[in-house]
Amino acid sequence: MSVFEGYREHAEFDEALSPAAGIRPHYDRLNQTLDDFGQDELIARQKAADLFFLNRGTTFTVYSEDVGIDRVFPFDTVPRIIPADEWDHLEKGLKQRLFALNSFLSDLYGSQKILRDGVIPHELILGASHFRREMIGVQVPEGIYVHICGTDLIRDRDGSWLVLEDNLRCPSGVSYVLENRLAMRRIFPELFAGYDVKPVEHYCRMLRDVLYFIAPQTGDEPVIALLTPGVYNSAYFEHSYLAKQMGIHLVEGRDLVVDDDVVYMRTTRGLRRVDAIYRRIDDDFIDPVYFRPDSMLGVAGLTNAYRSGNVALANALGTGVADDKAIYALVPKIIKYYLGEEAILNNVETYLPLDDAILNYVLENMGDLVVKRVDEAGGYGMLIGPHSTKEEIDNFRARVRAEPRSYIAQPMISLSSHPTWVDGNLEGRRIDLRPYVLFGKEIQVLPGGLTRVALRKGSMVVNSSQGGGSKDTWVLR
Amino acid sequence: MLARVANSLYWSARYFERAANTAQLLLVTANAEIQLQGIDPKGADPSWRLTREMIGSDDFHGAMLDGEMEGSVLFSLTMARENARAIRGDISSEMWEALNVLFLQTTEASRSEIDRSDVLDIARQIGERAHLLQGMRDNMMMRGDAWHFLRLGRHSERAMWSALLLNSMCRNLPSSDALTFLYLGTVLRSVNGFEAYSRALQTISPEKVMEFLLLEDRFPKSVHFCVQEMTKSLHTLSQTPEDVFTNEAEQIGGSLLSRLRFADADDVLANVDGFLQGVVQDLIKLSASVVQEYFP
Repeated sequence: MSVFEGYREHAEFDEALSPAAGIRPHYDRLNQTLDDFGQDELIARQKAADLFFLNRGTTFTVYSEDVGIDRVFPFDTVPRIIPADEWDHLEKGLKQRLFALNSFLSDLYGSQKILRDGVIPHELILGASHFRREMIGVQVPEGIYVHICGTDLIRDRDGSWLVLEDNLRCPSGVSYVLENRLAMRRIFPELFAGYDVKPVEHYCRMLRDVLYFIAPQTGDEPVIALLTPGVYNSAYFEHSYLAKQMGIHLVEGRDLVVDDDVVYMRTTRGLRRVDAIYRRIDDDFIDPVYFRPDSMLGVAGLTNAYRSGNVALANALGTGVADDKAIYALVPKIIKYYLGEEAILNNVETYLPLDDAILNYVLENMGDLVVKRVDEAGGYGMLIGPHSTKEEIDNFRARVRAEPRSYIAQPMISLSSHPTWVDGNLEGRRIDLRPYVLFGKEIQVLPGGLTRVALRKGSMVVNSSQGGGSKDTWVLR
Repeated sequence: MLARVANSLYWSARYFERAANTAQLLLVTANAEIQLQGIDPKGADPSWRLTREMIGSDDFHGAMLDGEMEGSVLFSLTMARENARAIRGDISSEMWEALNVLFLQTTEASRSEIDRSDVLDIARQIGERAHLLQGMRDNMMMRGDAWHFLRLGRHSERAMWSALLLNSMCRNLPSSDALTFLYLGTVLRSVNGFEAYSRALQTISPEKVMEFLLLEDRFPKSVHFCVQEMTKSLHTLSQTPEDVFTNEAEQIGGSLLSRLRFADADDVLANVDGFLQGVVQDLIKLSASVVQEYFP
């Protein structure tokens, strides 16, 4: 019996099956190989994969009652496959988008031409909490603000790719891309037969090159470090993993000290200068002198060292202003303004209630829309119209009317589904994709990215904190 | 190397060594108890008394698996792994994984209903894994600072363990010759030294065991051997020859080493308590000065 038999697609668009023509050609071979295994073997391999992650400590630590419990980020062994032509399109779109957003940041912290030309309303920027005045006029190394970008993509009902969100601050998850591939190669080598999958293993080399590229030239071999909030951070595994793979130092705030605008780390042989920092601490916590004074994680004086050009930071400070939800709606305009091109990748249709006509539309149709606060993330400050009571909708309507500039609205989106193991059978579960884009000497996109899957039936929420898992993502040559 | 990283390397190695030593001591004590069944109806064998002095408990199950009990195997293993988490980048992936698996298995065992023979199995496994981990360390790691801090931690712990073990051994000597033979065998087995001892010496006596575990510079768990290893690492770290002293740790290590090297066995045995006390005091000062020098 075919393992795909009895598999029912759950979304309007399914990655592996088309309603008219059956299994899509690029999933054909996978289907056959899975068939040859038989169900018992497939279940055994899935178990082997789970153990692989637990033993390697590819885990989140959840602390309850003072006991650290390691949880594995659930991994599904059915890979997601992206054909070459589709990927080429995505890659071009992602490069275009990052180049434009970087130009936008450079302009915002420079001459602010885009504001003076009236393309973006002043008040969206100057009042934004992630706009860092400290960065105005600062020459960032090589003119690059966003060195590491994770862009969330989804596929709509007709299969077209849409950008859901730009992550320009400290996007995480890439270690799972690398570990997922390693797990698949170890546990399911047979599945790769007949597929020419683009490698991902060179990611750390690429990132290392970016960090060396931006480090100030002092004549000596540059010292590079990854700055982590510490072992209690849920992404600590990723921090230590990347530092190790790149062969750079893994430091915490307390390991660093700034003297005369130069950053040093405390070593067993005294202080040693640090030239470039891949920081995995948000702006708010990175320097108690400028940002949150109560932060114990950061490094006092780091901002001044950075502004003096004595240390490079990836990503730059202040990039968050370009990935808030209101700016998101304007990215197509930003691309047009700096590049004179149409956006290759579309956004989800988004309403910015800046004028009365749109505001009225949003207020009247709130029951059909998703409404989000621009400065919140992770599902907070959000209304999902069709799933809400009349009371909740009325309540939100009042809030939007009071502060229209703080909200955006979008139609209900749909995510594509993908065959996923559920209790020994294949079922359709919703997925998204976060590709990783690096900006150094040039812009490079890691082929594939992190496919997150909502393991709960019917759920559209792929976040790891809410029952999400992940899959290996294959881009074909 | 980062001072914080050096600190974690040192303590991870130290706690791991302690976990392995504790497990081994519990294992051989439990085995001795089985061997003595019928022979020693009055329970005159002092092995459990010695174990209680070393670990702070003679509850076999608890001393292995009670994570709340300071000094238990699980407690030390947890500390070793917590420290290793902070330095995953500085040891090999295989070492981390081996330690992590050992921790997960032991934690799992502590949460399940298991009988004595299962606990004995776990103690045996910990011993085997300890050797596996040490093989990985010595075959995969550069002989850089990280390796030397691991060696410092391991040998600080081991020297202290052996010195305290000898101290307890002397305090708890049994009165009959038959029991003394078994008891000294247990002491030697607890540091994996029975075979090495038997090869080197023909007769077994408290004095000879003392001499062997204190002064024999060719046996890896003797105090002499451990202090020698520590001073080698200290001088490699400071990039100085072994007769040049640049910090307090090197000075204390050097002076202790020369006392052990030139000790006359008869003199030592004439005043065992005093000599051992001096060694323990120096070891305490030595590890404090390592901390002061490299990760204050």
